[in-house]
Order: sequence, then structure tokens, then C-alpha cells
Amino acid sequence: MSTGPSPDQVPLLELDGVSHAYARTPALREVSLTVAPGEVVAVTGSSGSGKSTLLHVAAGLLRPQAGRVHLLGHDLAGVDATARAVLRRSEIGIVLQYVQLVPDLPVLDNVALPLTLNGSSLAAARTAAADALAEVGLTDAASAAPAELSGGQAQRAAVARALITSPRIVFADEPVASLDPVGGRQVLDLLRGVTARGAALVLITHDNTVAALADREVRLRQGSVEHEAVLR
Amino acid sequence: MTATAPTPLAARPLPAEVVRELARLRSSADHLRARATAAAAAGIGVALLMAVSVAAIPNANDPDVYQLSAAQPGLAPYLSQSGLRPGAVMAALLLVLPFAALAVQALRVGSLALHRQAGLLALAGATPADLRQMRVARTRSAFLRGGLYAAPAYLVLWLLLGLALPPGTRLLPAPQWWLPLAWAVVLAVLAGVGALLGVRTPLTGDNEEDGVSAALVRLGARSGRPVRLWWAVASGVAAALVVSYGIRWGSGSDYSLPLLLLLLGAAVLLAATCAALLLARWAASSPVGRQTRRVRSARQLRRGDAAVAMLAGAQRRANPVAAGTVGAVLFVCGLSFGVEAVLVTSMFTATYGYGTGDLLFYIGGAAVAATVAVVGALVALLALALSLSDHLLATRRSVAAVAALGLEPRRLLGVQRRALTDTAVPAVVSGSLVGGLLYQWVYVLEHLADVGIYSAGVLAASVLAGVLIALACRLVVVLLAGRVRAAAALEHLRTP
Ligand SMILES: Nc1ncnc2c1ncn2[C@@H]1O[C@H](COP(=O)(O)OP(=O)(O)OP(=O)(O)O)[C@@H](O)[C@H]1O
Ligand SMILES: [Mg+2]
Repeated sequence: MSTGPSPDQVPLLELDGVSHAYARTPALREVSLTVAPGEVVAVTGSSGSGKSTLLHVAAGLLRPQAGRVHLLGHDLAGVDATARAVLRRSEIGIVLQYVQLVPDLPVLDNVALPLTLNGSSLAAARTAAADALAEVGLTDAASAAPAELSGGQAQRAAVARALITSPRIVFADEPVASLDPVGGRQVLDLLRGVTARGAALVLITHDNTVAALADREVRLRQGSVEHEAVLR
Repeated sequence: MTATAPTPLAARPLPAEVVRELARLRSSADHLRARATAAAAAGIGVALLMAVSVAAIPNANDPDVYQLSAAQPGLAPYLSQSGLRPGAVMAALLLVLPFAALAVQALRVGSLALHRQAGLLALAGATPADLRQMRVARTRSAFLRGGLYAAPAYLVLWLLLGLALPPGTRLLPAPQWWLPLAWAVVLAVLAGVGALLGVRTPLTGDNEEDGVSAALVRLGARSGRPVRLWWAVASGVAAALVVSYGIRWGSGSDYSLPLLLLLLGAAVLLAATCAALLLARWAASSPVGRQTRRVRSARQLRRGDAAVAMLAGAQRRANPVAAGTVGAVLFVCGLSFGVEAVLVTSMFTATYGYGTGDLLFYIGGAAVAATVAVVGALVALLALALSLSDHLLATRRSVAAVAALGLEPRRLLGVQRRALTDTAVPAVVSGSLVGGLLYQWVYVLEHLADVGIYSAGVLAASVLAGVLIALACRLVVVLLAGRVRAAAALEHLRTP
């Protein structure tokens, strides 16, 4: 791979020949991908090209049918459901494309979840969650139920939750698709901010102007890597 | 950061504070689930307390099994005669079954939302053990809350069925000094059962192979676990019957026929449960079952209110386990009804003399047994209604979509009634016919009586049972109307 990480950097994420098919649809074919610390990688491609599936596999939400995934030094094939859950609540941040907030919990508690699940006290977790909500401009929505949020607000709450644990790698699936340009820019800056402390961002988008903010672009087409380019 | 040495990924149990917060009841489905579970647990608790209280009535010293107990004067002979008492204990124990079925259905209220919630919590980092811990906390507290009502409910029942009745007809013994002890044991048992049910309640999100992604996608998936649970309950009751029968047998009683019949009843119950479950699964999955359904729905299409029939069928098939277990319980209630029919017929037609007192005794006994069966049937019906209306709420988006297309609420209620009656009426009527005709055969052989009259009695009783259960279904639907209207509300078109 011409655009891999420099040899002295151990990658945070490494996909090697990953393939996955749903009932009939092959969604990923032999995909290989490496993400180094501090990197922003944009995954692009048309609708149905396998972007979300790639994210699910890379974040350990879905076991691929073939190939290997190394995430933060763990070979995910040997990591059980419990350990993957611990990984999610302590070291990685995930923003999914659609609903991801627990409908019964207020927004504040939703954002606090990774911390409370990881053993923080409720009070400490809620304080941190309030700060995280302030960062995405959602202070007023803290006590609302997720159903009371607009699509864009819910997406921002999800971003706040993904960042609350200071994760080493963040996966974001179309995080700004439902935001207005100003709000979108703000959220993108927040997400890209994780690279300052050496964390990486895997950004899924169909928007070329969003992809242009990445260090590297990986374009999928029908489940295969069609094109890979270093942007900066 | 250049090195990525893997950190150990060990999970600790959640702090109690967090479990409490996450397990708190929030949605209306949560509250309904907790209330219905508590009610079922209370029913189980009361049935157990009744069984213990009756079993503990001291025997007279006289070896004559018809001897009245002197320690608790005023009791009806079914309780005071040591030979009849095991029958009353059995009746109380059998009442556990419909309440257990209710508990199983109650725990499934809002199961679609629970699946979804489990998937979303897992996404945020909840481990399978965390999810289990939350479920156990919820279920156990609902069972405990129900158990707390058991002893007060027993006292109320004793006031109504004991103290308020004239001496010689009292159906419950007075509470004894040890009632609080028995209550404590019942509470402990219920807490244990609640915890067990919490662990075993089927939810995705803790399914290792699927991964969270699949859990989020396959929100509607259900597992067959409650079936095994149902088996455990049924086997437990059967074991209790066998043991108590053994005790009676060992004590050399000559009053073994009713016990034999009860044992037979338990065996039939197990067989019926098994058959109903297998049949329900088969109907849900096999090609023959699918074909049968196709033929049936085609026939229903030709027979009028096709939309209602199709929706009702879909609703029942959506939860074959509920229909199967409840059908089995109703079948057993029908069995008992059929046996009563033979006994009552015999009282009115027997050529050998019954004294007036004897007649009262037998009619009273039949009435008590029939009441137990009716209570069981009502509880089972409630369990089925719970499962149906829950399915309605779970699919409220499609229901609202149908309503938006112009299916008015009245016809949606028709769907509920249809789904209920199509399960309940055949179960009760076939149970009554089977029980009545089998028992009649035994009875006629023994007493050389006229078959025709007994068959007529059984038939009449079965028709009556069918009509009554159909009426009960209507009543339940009236009670459900609010939930049906809520499910059809057009704002659910926005529900994900
Ligand atoms: N749970 C599923 N079951 C079956 N097929 C699926 C499932 N999820 C995705 N697919 C299929 O897999 C392929 C890739 O889907 P994926 O969601 O990864 O695409 P995507 O690139 O994220 O598309 P979009 O830009 O529209 O979000 C598609 O053909 C889709 O239909
Ligand atoms: Mg997608």
C-alpha cells in the first residue's frame, strides 16, 4: 500500500482482506485499510457501496465473514462480546448513521452512558456529559428525551457521547449529513480535534467537501476499495 | 502517541447506583410490564399460600379419612376431611400455572422496545453481563413487589371465602401464626424465580455471535426460551403432584381415585402443553403449516371481513409461544369443566339416593372446582390479551399506517377479538369435550349408567364453556380498547 503509515507508527486500525455479505448482498469484498495515530481518513462511495458495513466491521460491531481486523492492538477475532463492549465504552467513539440514543434515557444520561457503564459515579458522569453537550451546543436539550430532538440535534448528542471518553479512535458515519453548514462545520472541527492528542478519525461521508478535510480518502465501490488518495 | 499496546479489556460489575438508574421504569410499557408481572407474582404467591394453609390443616386423630378436622371448625368438608384435602391442595397448586403463564407474557410486554434498548445500550458499551444485571434487577423487584401483596391478598380472600361464609362451608382456613414465615419463604422463592426469569428473558444484544450490529438490525427476533421455562414450571407442578400422590398412597388411603384423576390430569396437562407448543411451532414454521395457513386465509378472504381476519391471524402467529402456552392452560381449564359436567349430570340423574346434604356437598364441590377453572381461564385469557396488545404496540407504526389508510378503530378492536377467540374458544371447547367424554367413559363403566345422558351433559357444558369464553374475550377486548386506540394513533407514523 503506497499510502500506509510510516514504519515507526503502529497503526490504530488495520483491516486485512475483509469480506462480508448479508443474506444475499455482498457488502464488502477483500477490503484492506490502515489508519495511523493522528490521521483523518475519509471513506467515501455511493449509496450502498458498503461504507456503513465497513464501519460496523472496523468498530467491532459486526464480525466479518473473512479477513482480519486489528483494532488498538487487539485481533478482534479473539475478542469476545464483553471485551468489545469494554472497548466501546473506554477506547473508541462511534457515531452511527441513524438512531443510536436510548429512547428511554434523557439526552444527558445518554451522553453519560459510556462513563457510567465504565464504573464512574452518576454525578461525575453527568458533569462530564454536561460539558460534552455544551461543546456541541446542546446544553438546553440535556433533560429532553431523544425523541424530542431534531435529527441534527440527535446527531450532535451522539457526537458528544462518542467523544466523552477521549477515545483513541473515532468512527463517524455521515456525522454532518443532517446538519446545517454552520453546525456541520462546528461538529467536524470537534471531531477532527481528536487528532491533536494523537487519536484517529474515520469519517464516512458521501460529501466531497467533507471528504476534502481528511488526510486521506478511501473510495468504495460495490464493496471494494476503488481508489485511495493522500489529500495532505 | 505512537505505540498501541493493547490495554486489558476486563469488565467490572456495574455499581449498584448505575444499575438502579438504568433499570428504573420509564416508559408506559415498562410500568405495564412491572405491574402485570407483579400481579402474576402475587397470584402465584397467593396460590402457594392457599396450598400451604390447606395442606397444614391438622388431621383428626381418628384414622377414618372422612373424619373432620377439629382444629379448624367451620371449614367445608373439602378442606376438613383429610381424604379430600389433597384435592383442594392440588387445585391451589394448579392455579399457579395460569399465573405463571401470565408472568411469562407480562415479562414480554414491550419486548420489541426492550430488544432495541438492549442493542442501543450495547452500542454505548454495555456488556452482556451488564444487560443481564439490569434485567434481573427489574424482574426481581417486580416479583418481590407482587409477593408483598400475597399475604394481604390471602387475608382478604380468607375474609371473603372463610369468615364471611356460614360455618361448615368455609373454603379457606384461618391464617395461622406461621403465615408470616410462609410468606417470607414465598417471597424468597418469588425473588429467586424473578431473578431466574430476568436472566432468561430473551433479548438480543447479549448474543455473542451476532455482534451488536446484528442486534440493532434484527430487533424483532425472538428466541424460544420461555418455552423451556414453561416446561420447568409444568414439570415442577407435575413433580409436586407425584410427590403428594406418593405420600397419600404411602399412607394407605382408600380415597385414591380423585388423586389418580388429578395425576392423570397433570399428565394430560403436560401432554397438552407439549402438543400445543409443538403444534404452534410447527404451524409457524413448517411448509405444511404455511400451506394450511394459506388455505385458511384464502377461506377467510372469501368469508367476509378479510382484512380483520388476516390481521388477527398475523397477530396470533407473531407470538406462537403465547398462543401455545395460553391455549394449553385454557385446554386444562376446559378439561376440568368437562369433568364437572359429568359429575353434575350424575347428581341429577343418579338413581341411587343422594341425600339433600350429599347433593349440596357434591354441587358445592363441583362449583368450587369450576370456579378454580374459571379463574384459571380468565388469568390465561388476560395473559393472551397482554401478549396480543403488546404485539399491537410493538407494531404500532404499521398499525398506524393501516389506520391512516382508513381502517377504523372499531375494526381494529374486531381484530383483537378475533385473535383472542380464535385461540381461546377452540382450546376450552376441545378441553371440555376431551375431559368430559373421557371421564364419562370411566364413570359410565363404573356405575353402569346411561351414556346418552352423560354425552348430552358434556356437549351442553362444552357449548356453554365456548359461549362463556367468547363472552370473556369480548369483555377483555373492551378493557383493551384504550391500548388499541393508542396503538392506532397517527403520531406513531413518526416512530422509528
Ligand atoms: N442488515 C442488512 N441486511 C441485509 N443487507 C444489508 C444490511 N445492511 C446493509 N445491507 C446491504 O449491504 C450493502 C452495503 O450497505 P451499507 O449500509 O454498508 O452501504 P452504505 O455505503 O453505508 O450506503 P449509504 O450511503 O446509503 O448509507 C447494501 O447493498 C445494503 O443493501
Ligand atoms: Mg451507510
